[in-house]
Amino acid sequence: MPQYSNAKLPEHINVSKVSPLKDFISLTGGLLAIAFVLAFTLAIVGNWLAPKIPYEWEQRLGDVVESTLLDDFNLNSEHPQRAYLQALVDQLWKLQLTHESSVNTGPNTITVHYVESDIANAFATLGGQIIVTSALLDKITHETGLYFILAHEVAHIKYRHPIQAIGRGVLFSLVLSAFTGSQGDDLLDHLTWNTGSLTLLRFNRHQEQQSDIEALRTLYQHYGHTEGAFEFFEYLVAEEQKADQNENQVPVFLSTHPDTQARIVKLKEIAQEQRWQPMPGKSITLQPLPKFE
Amino acid sequence: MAAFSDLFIFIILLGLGYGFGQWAERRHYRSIHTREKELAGILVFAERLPPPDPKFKHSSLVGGSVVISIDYFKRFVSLLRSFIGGRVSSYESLLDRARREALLRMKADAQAKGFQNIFNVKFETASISKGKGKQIGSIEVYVYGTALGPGN
Repeated sequence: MPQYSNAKLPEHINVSKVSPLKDFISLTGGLLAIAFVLAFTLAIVGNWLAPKIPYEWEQRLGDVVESTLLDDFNLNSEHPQRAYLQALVDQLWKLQLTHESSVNTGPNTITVHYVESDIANAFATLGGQIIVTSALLDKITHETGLYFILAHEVAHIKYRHPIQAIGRGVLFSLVLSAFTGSQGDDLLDHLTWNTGSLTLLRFNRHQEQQSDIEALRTLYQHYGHTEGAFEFFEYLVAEEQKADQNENQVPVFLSTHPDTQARIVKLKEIAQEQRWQPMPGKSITLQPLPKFE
Repeated sequence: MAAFSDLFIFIILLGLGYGFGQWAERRHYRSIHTREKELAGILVFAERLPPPDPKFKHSSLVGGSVVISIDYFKRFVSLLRSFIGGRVSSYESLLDRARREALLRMKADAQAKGFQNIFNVKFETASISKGKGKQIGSIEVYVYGTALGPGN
């Protein structure tokens, strides 16, 4: 059978010459770039859409959040602390509503929840609700310090930041599931979700600053000065330094709040620019927090 | 922090996949090249009907199969590739290696049985482990044909 032979195929006929590493780098780079552009666009769309959501819709979500909170934290409305905080917040809310605002709808009243916890924290959530932990009241000694924190959270609600944050998150996960849903790969879901949550913080820095400034303004309106406003921030700075020594530092990029020291400096500058300072010669006495049983 | 450790593990897996995958592939190709030279004398044909030849007195079914798994790195690259399309180069070498290896095993089978010519050669390909999300984990290639010759 001399007329037959098997030709030797040249290499790389069936296999492309591309190095897998190069392929990987170009693919990851390209897809990450697309993901970031998409996240950016979605964030803008989300911010634009969220304030247009009627407050009644948010209220329904707020009710769900409240019932979860009740289950999770075993909330007790009988605390005298809660009544005290609620009175402060009511006062704050009235004050802040007198300021000019781009927000046309919002809750009539803001509800404060008091939670027994070792972690000093306060946060605003959907449906005009603010959660304050017992440790926060322990760490703050003067009313102005507490007033600032509460004013900050009230400002979040005034500007409807919670629905904006949720709105963005929902939009983002919707688009993600549209992309990865058909693929259904856990790994990719996981990875894209992580990149997603890195770019979309709970409240972004702009929102934090907006609330900080509004809180300072409210403070000045109420007290005639902004002394003692940063009591809690200063406590946080001290804690961060302690954590630094333990080498447990959280990078600024990953924390939901801007670097606290930088934040204090920035706010003091703003207070100076806006002349939110006491009358010259007027002495300031900070009122201590009431003692609770 | 949990996200960080997950990412860390993921990167380690990618690195391991890349390292071992490339090493195994290079080694396999080296072996394929030498054996292809050794077995170049065994001819394979797709024709169903061989030309009449008095040498072809005996026949036998010969075959070779192989199962190869893709590595973690290449699987991830192919996943990324599936977003935008194009040549899935990470799977190309996997299938190329599997086809050539299976063919070599069939040739070795024929050689052991004393044949020089194999006709009606056919390839069967199957993906074996369909992991989560139907990602192809490993493939099997089976090659078979009819060996003709004077025989043992």
